[in-house]
Amino acid sequence: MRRLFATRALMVAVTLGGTISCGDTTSTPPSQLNFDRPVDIAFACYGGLRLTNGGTATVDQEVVVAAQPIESCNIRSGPHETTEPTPAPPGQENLAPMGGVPLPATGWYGFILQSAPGTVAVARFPTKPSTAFTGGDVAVLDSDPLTPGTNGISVGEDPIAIATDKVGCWEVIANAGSCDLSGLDINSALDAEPSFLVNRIPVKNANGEVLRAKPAAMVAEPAAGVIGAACPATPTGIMYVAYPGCHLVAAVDTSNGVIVGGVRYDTTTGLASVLQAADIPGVSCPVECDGGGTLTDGPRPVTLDLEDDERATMRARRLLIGADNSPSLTVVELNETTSLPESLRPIVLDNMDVGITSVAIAPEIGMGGSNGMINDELVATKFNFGYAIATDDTVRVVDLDNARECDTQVDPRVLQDNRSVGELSCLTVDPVLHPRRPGARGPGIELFGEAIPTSIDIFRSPEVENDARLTGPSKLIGYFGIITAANGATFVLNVDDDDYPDFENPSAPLEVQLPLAIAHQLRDAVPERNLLSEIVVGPMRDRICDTNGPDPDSQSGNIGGPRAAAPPTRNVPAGIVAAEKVGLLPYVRQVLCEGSDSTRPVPEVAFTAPDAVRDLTFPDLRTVRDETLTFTWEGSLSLDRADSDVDGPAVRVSQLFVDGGGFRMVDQSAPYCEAGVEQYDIVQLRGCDPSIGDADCAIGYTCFVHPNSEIAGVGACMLEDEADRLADACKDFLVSQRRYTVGRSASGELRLLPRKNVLRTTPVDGCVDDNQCKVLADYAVELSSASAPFTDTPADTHTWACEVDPDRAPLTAPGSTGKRCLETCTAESKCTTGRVCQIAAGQTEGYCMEGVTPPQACVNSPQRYELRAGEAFTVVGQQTGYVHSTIRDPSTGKCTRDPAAHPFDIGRLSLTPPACDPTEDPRTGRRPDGTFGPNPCSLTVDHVEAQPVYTDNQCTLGNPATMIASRQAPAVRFRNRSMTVTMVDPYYPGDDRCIRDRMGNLGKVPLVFPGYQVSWRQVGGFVPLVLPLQPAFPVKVVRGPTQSIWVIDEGDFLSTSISQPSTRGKVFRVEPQALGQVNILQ
Amino acid sequence: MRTLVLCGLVTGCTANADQVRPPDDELFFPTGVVVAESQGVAFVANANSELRYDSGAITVLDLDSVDQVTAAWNATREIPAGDLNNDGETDCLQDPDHAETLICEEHRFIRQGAGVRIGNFATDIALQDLGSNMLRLIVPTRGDPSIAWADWDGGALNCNPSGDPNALCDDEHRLSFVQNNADLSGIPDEPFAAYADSIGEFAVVTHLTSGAVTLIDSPKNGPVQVADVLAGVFAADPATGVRGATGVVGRPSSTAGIVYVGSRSEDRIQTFTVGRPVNAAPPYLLPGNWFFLDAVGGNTGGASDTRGMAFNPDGSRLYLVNRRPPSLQVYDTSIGPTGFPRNDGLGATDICRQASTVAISGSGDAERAYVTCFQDGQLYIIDPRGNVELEDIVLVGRGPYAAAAASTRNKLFVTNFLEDTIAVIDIAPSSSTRNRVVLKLGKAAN
Repeated sequence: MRRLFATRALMVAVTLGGTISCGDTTSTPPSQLNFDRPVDIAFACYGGLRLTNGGTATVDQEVVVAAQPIESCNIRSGPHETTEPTPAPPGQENLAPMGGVPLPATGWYGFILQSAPGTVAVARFPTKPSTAFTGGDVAVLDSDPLTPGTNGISVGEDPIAIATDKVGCWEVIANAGSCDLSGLDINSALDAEPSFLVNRIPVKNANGEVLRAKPAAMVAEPAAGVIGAACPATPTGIMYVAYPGCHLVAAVDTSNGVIVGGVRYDTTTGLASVLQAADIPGVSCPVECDGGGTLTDGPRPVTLDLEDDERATMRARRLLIGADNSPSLTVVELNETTSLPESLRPIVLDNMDVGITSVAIAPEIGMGGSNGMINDELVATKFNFGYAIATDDTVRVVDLDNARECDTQVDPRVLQDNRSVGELSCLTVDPVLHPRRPGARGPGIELFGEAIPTSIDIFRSPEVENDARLTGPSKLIGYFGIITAANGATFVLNVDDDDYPDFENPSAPLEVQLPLAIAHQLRDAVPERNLLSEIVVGPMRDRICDTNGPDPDSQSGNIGGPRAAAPPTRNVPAGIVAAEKVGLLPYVRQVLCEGSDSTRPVPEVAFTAPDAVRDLTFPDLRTVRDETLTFTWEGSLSLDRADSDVDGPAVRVSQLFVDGGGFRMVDQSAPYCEAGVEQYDIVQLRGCDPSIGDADCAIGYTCFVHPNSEIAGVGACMLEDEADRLADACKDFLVSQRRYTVGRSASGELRLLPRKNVLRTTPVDGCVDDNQCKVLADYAVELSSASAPFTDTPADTHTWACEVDPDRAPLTAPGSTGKRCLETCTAESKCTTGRVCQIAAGQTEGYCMEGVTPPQACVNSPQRYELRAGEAFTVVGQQTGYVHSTIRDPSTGKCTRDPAAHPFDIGRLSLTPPACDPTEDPRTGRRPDGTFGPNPCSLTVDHVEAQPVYTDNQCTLGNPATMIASRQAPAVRFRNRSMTVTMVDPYYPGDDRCIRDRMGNLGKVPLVFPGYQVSWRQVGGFVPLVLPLQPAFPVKVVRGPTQSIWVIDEGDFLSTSISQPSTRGKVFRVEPQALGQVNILQ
Repeated sequence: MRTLVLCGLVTGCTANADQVRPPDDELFFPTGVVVAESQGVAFVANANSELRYDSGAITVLDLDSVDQVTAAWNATREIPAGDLNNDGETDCLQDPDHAETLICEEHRFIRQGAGVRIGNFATDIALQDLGSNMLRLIVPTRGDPSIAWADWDGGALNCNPSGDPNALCDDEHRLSFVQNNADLSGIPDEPFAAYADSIGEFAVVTHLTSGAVTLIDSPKNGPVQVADVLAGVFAADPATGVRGATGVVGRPSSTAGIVYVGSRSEDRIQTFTVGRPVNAAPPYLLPGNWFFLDAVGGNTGGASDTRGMAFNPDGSRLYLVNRRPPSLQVYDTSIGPTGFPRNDGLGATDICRQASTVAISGSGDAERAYVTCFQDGQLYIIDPRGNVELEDIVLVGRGPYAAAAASTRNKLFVTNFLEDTIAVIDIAPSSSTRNRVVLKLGKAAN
């Protein structure tokens, strides 16, 4: 409570201890706030001016201190030697040596519009080159020294935009609160007098009827004016004002507020047209500010940008209009003298559901070039791009000259051989010619994480004389965009990076990363992407193999391209596979690294893998994240922990029903298709943890552990007064593993099937008879022994039958028998621990079950459970989660694969996928006819490994104990959004005498078991370059004088530190050639 | 009321029970408000935060009376005449500071005898439609703590079998213990916000200082009881150690909806559904997916301290009021191709500090979010289209706490906690007084 209310109110506040204001216990330090919700900025030039009226300077001409055309300060801010005088506009030279009056200093002024108080704050900064800015250059002025604090100038109600008039003498403000414009006389705002001249400018048609519509955006016609002329008594020139409720963009003569032209949208067709001369006088709008008007449907123009590029070859002066409820951008060609509309063209964006909230026009850019020089005048491939923030949270790019949208999400895999700067500068939206990268939402630029773009502008970052900067992310030469986002990030966008190659280098696959080379891609922040596994020896570079690459956790930051930070690890719980035999399990394919330090097998994801292999493994840098990747056999589909929300809770809670509909897991939130559950996946009930009492259970329930249960640490929540009574009835359920097969998956319901215990070493192509099952069961036991096969190893004590299991996925491997080894029993004691013997009525032998259908009374409590993939590896990234393309079939409610999904949108691989198509492209995965080959797919690959060297048939290891050898290994190739990886040895033939001799004849025996995991830490993923700012809620980025970057932050920052003030908005100035050079106004 | 104060100050006499009984024609520290348009009434929770009376109350406002007075006022500037309560003051007058606002004593709009009395420090009010013109109100009260409930029969609220007008809710209607069993645990402290699900026949209450969430089983024809309490839903703020559950709202659905709960200590929204076991045991909360509020606040420690939450009518958009940073965030909660809500950030805008609640009115282009700004006495009106823009800021009175829209009547009701009034705002899209306070119920004390 900071305000003093009436006595009674104060007493209440004391009574409540502040709790009614909802418990804010944080104390914020007192602070002096300059800004309150800044939303826009405009720039002016003010200072000494010789009144020449454009003529030649003479010593007797009057010198005043006054506002003047922007160009005056542009000239003064031009680069020059420090020993040379500051450049001066014609007529404004220093005539003091000739007896003239010295010209007072001239400076830049920023007029910062603040919507909450309806004021304009004024900041000053010097006229000097951008390279001369060092911090502390920009200061906020107090417009009312007689009032405490740093004050602004009141200009209007709920102002939304500010722009400097044509001749630089007035600031014009659009007011949404009063549906009019205000004119602020710059001279009155900056002179020493305490009063300001602010004129209200009602907007009216030529008939004199005032429009009372709410403006949403405003831009000024290009600056002009004569340097040396005195300011007029009214604003000069045209402002374009967008009125969304009126479906109108009006060209308003600011001298009198009269509409002199514009663009209007048809409320029926949505089409825009230039206001005809006959229509202009009678233009009218709904009366929004005084009420009473009737709003109509139709496009709502809410954003404008105007660019005047005198260098442009096709068109110099353009207005771009975006509507928040229409996918159509309107490009308006303006008369280069009057700035009035001459013609217009719509550009309809891909995906008709989007609207546009912010637009920007870039200057004409000569695309291509990589020698560190801007080459606009030297190249023929020139573009004039427009940018639009769309409501699908992407930034759309359009080619204004050709009125077409550019696709920024084309899969780099298909652009590898493209050498056309023109084509790469604006890739046509064409899913056949230019297929998008998997996971792309559309053709627009996607930001990183949850960022929602709020604005964009384009900057030219010129060459720097005696440039000492190293080539890398922060060295900008060319054209770049800044995109602000609601989460506070300010992303840097590559438009034309003239300091980076334009194409891939076929002879050096890692030299160029295409997502860093082509236009309209977020700029990457990690240097030395082309780093190779080499050391420099004199003039030579030698390949090395004994390294994992640069330290990704280095204090100076990571460098280099995508790679595993260390070789992938096999995570094997004790007791299942002996440590000596872990090498038999599936692993990432290895290739040979031949270095000056060593020659060794290395995983294909390693930094030391050959360049071509790394290039194919990580074909699209933009999609690679820094994260831990796990390939887990029958792994969880959902791994969200307390600090993540990628793919759903690892342990879910739902309800179980046993009724005429079967045994069903029901969740009213319908999360199962979202989780990617497929038929034959696994539901693992987790019960409750008795070690924490009843904490896992709902009120009234207790965590009951059946006395016969051999599964440690797992109980079941049962009603306190029912647990003992139901112990017998629920026994089979309570003592089993409680694993079930998903028989049918729908968005809100999983039908569960009791699950027979299957021998994990059942061949992938099925068993043939019970005897084979016995042999394989023994082999499964043998795997847990460190002994070599020729020695006596313990035998399996259970019974197995080779039968078809209708409750599991059909075996589809070529030549499959379709049968599995099922554990059978005649009594409970015969089953493996955690399985219960279920014998059908009239039978003497039954099956050992991992879970049984319980009576309903056993499962009335909330059920905790996991969702796991059935008979497949799940591929899960810490950041990217479990990727799948499962959707809900609208007609049946069942979960099904999205037929339109990209085949790389996948997060699981089985051991026996379809064979790979040898004709498919190794990079793109596409066949010659353009269709994709199977993914994942089976193949045989060269796999390099250190194989044991035995010296005798007693399996004595030699010296050396291993030798590096290559073998043809069965494998599964897996492609997802970011990588192509090959897993070798999905099955194993068994050994004859010695471990890993591979001379067994057991067939295609899978050695995987639930929970087996191959994992590695993937580093060198894409990291977007962001400006080193900390805005709370940036809403606008503006290109300022000398290409300076201005970020307007309207958000409140609530400090919890005495050393840091709370603020109600900030403005940042950043120099494009030195992104770390920041001036902060607050 | 004024007699009582005078007595206390001058003579120091002891007040009897009648003297400390809250009047049934006044507002006193109004907090929660809900509108039942089909019944032509709005229900207001009076917190009695000054402890002037022996209890709080739920007051029933007559919407038709509000409509009649505002219609005449807007059309002809007609000021209702008279002094109906004979307090020596004319009931209505034009606001001297805001010419478009009519100020009337609240008794003209209160259905006397239709309300009930509840515990002190009511924080919110939730409405459950029982069908057949029957309604149920769920009101968390911090004083006990307890959760009061009262049924509306079309003419009056009932929470006491005595049937007396303005009766104090009996113990059965003040839920303090799980399953109404004093041998079981009591409900956690500081009940804060409430949501009632008409289809699912339950209500959910959050707790400000513990992060707990309470489920109330509220069958149409059965006993109302606290069915489940889930503690530790949210982690403690690492800086302050405070943990708290705050806003709660259910996603509109043809079946029992998903309940979304926000936190003051985490930048996370936790969802719940409610499970009903087939053995007629009490229902329980089933925690579902969660999502983080990553769309705003990346540079300010995340978007924590969520307060008000509201869905638009079709459940496709969730509005969240966050205090850190002060922002209204809009999330896309439409059902995605997987059949699950998308829960993706759509946009946000900067708002006032210390915002407390949000109400939604209209649909399509007319949809607006109304955020009450407790500290500033303002109502922020947000246009969610496009970039999510602040459309207007309206001064409504001191301590605006909650808002509720009567959409078909084009009015928004805002409770002003610190001045015992309710501001009625015209939200008709084409009205000349759109987004202006046209009527204030109650004369603010100076």
